[in-house]
Amino acid sequence: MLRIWVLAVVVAALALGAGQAGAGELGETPMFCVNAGELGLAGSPPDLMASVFERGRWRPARIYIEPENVTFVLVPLLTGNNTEVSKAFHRGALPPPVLRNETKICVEAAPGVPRTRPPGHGRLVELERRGAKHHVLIARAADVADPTAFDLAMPRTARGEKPDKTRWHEAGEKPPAQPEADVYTISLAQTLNFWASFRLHRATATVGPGGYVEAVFDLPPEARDAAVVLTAGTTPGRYGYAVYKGPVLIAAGSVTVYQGQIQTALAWLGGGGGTYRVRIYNDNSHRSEIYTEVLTNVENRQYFRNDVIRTPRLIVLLALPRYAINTHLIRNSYLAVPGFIVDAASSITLRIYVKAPPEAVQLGDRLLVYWGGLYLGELRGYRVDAYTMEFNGVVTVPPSLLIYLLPTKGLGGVISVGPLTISSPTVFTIEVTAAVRRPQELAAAGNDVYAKYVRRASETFLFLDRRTYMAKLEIFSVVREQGSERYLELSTMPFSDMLGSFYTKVRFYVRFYDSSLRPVNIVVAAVGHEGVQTVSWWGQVLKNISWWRGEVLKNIPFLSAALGLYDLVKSTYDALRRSIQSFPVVGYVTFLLDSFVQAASADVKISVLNGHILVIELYTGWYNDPLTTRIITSLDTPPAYFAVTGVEYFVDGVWRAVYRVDVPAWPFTTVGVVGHSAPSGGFAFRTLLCGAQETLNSPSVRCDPAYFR
Amino acid sequence: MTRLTSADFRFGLKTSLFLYLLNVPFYLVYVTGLYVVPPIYLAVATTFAAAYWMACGLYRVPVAAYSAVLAAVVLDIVAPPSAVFGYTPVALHWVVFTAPAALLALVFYALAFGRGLWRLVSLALLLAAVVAGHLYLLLAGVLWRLAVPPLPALPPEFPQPQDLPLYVVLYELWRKIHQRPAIRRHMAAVGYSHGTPPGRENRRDGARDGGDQRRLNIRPVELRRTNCETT
Repeated sequence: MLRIWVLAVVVAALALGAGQAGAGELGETPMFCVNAGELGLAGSPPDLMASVFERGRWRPARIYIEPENVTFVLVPLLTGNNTEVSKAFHRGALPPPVLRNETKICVEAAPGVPRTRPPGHGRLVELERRGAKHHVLIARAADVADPTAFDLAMPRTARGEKPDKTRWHEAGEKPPAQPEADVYTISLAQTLNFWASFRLHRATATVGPGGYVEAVFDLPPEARDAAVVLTAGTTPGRYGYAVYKGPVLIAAGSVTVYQGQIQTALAWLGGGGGTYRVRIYNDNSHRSEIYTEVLTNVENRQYFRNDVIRTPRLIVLLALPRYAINTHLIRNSYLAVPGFIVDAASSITLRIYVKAPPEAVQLGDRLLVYWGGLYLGELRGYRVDAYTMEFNGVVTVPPSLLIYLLPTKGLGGVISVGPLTISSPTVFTIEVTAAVRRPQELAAAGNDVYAKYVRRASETFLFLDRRTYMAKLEIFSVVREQGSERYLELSTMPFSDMLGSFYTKVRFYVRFYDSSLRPVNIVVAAVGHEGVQTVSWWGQVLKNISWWRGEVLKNIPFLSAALGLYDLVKSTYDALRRSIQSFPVVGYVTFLLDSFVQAASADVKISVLNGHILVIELYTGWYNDPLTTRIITSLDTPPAYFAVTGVEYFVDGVWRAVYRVDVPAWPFTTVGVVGHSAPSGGFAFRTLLCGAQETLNSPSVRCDPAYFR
Repeated sequence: MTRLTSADFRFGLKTSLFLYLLNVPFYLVYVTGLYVVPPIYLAVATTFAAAYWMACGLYRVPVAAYSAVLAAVVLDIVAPPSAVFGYTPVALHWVVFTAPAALLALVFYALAFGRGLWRLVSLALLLAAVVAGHLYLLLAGVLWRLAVPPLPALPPEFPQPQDLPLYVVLYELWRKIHQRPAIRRHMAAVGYSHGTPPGRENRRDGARDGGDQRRLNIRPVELRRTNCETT
């Protein structure tokens, strides 16, 4: 018996050891660990990326930064006065905000010396170990020209060899600055360079040992690059792959997915449109869950679309959680705001306002901004008086980070600001607004796909004050020969295990414009709307009753179009939650698509203000479940643009204004082109409506997984 | 048409004062921000019925119902259902369970008046009084608001002190409708009211009335002479 136990312990130890093994132990390129000071990186922010030159090309190299323990403070849980404070504190790990001399950096290095120019500006590090020379290029995220050749630094304590000698010199050229005018000009259609991600529905499954999954997808001819990516949630282990473009095998090999890895690119496929077929083999001896996304970089003519995700100005009273009473002080705390979901973007701009007592700000006059575990940049603050410091600034997400944000739909969706020291009790104010300049579809403007319902823009209001849910207003439109049809959809997505959405109101002010940006008059506020729908246990019961089933199914089509993407986001986030502990990932409550019922106590009111402003007011009633409603408005002339020019919310007896403008103010106003010229051939796949690619014979206004590719 | 005198409004005034008294705790929890979601309006609704019966000198049932509702409000503040059940698809409050039951009990309390079919008539008339009172508040309330502003600190669902005349008339309306002579006669028969000469009821059903009084915990008739008596 004892022998069996000893054997079991040995096996367990070996298994654990294998789980922690760096690449060096797995017989790949060796892992080296050096102090940041030796690389001249002391004082640098932690947004490092690494690349090595191997077999004639630069490829991503894994890089880890020794993290420090931090506390994420989930802001919405502290806006009420009777919430469970302890739930708001999430222990995590981030790389130090400023690398210290002794911060350990572990990086994969390839043998030899590179012969071509590096794909970005950074430090070319030469490492010598037992006479053998190795090299790696370490660059900051903003200095990376070709992000596909780099891997982003992850916070983790890794193991590796200590080099005998370390030398480095600056190498490569910085990428050209992004053309800004392009981003802020409103036009019907313009050339846009963007990254987008979508799920390979048929290659996301559980596979037995030796089994495989296979999926087909199409990329438009303007695709400049694309990758098949395994995202977090994929069981760690080894996977083989083969990618065909048409009948031609263009990539094959195998990759290792490590524990806690956000994503692992199977292969970069290069540019060019066409039909791709990907097959992923489970090379492990255990059943594996596989989550597959396609990430692509496209440059084509796009209808204008600018989405905004905004929070109100949140005032939080931070008292200490129970476990910190002995220390009376929490260092390295980050205010965390959830709800930032993105699946495609050309550029993302964040406007952040923070008010904090000066003694709480650890870095003097600086606050750092993170999205998930990714460092985005810093905010500079100034002292208002002896007791207050204000930070009000704009942070642009470095384009090289988009490839890490998109496949996981925003990496858990949490934006954090810190580090702060919380000495009990302290009052903070925070407001975050994200502007996402993005494509309407993968296909270029005017393609066939616009003859089906396509999401033209969406405004997300993060209701995080005393309640926690997203209120999302989206416009869907379809182009016809004789004009366009459109409808607005308003839905709520509560965060799971948080406060819920009950007894609140939210009001959106919407305007339509013609092609020269003159307001279009509204004839009838609501030609039709089906009332507010929800799903609940009684819906589950009722759907099994035959006379009711017809009623339920009648309502499905429009409901699933808006919310299909969020079922997918939910499954992505649930998988991410299981595998990532170093930063918070917030879950959502979503639907089963076939059990909707009328939400009796919820209500939507639609009215017209001044003849041209549509006012949509949703009352959530007692529901914590998601709600959704569709509105069709009649206008006197066909509109070209749609914009959300105001948001207000009502909670605990008071109306509060969040945002109000008369004309779109850049870039923090949601604007979309609502259909223009009639479609003429081209890319025949809808991709960004449901988060998975559909063929054009799929149902027009719903997301049906049966039609996903 | 009978001529109106100040005596006509004594009942309404008394009921309104009970109404305000019963609502004092709800004003407090609302103004202090301890309880701001709509379920508290259910608690407020029960006070409208409780005040009516209390003004009639009947205390036990209204006080029991009111106490249950008040306890639910307090429990909602200190230990809401979410503390017990966690995240639920709809927001639960203890008041949502308690107040409708209390309100039903207070409405069906009308069945305690009269005998046989008259109990049903009493209930029907009380319901009619509630409906008529509601319509009256809707219509008169609009005109009243033109002249008298609401208190900004309180939501419109709460009875507000400056609206006293509105509620005096409301309860007089309830009394006029519910306490019809026929009801009064049967109320008197079980010892509730004095629409009929005292001697008659005692002569007719004395023994049985006494039984009813004991069963319903009715206190001596005289106490109620000034309360539910009508002219």
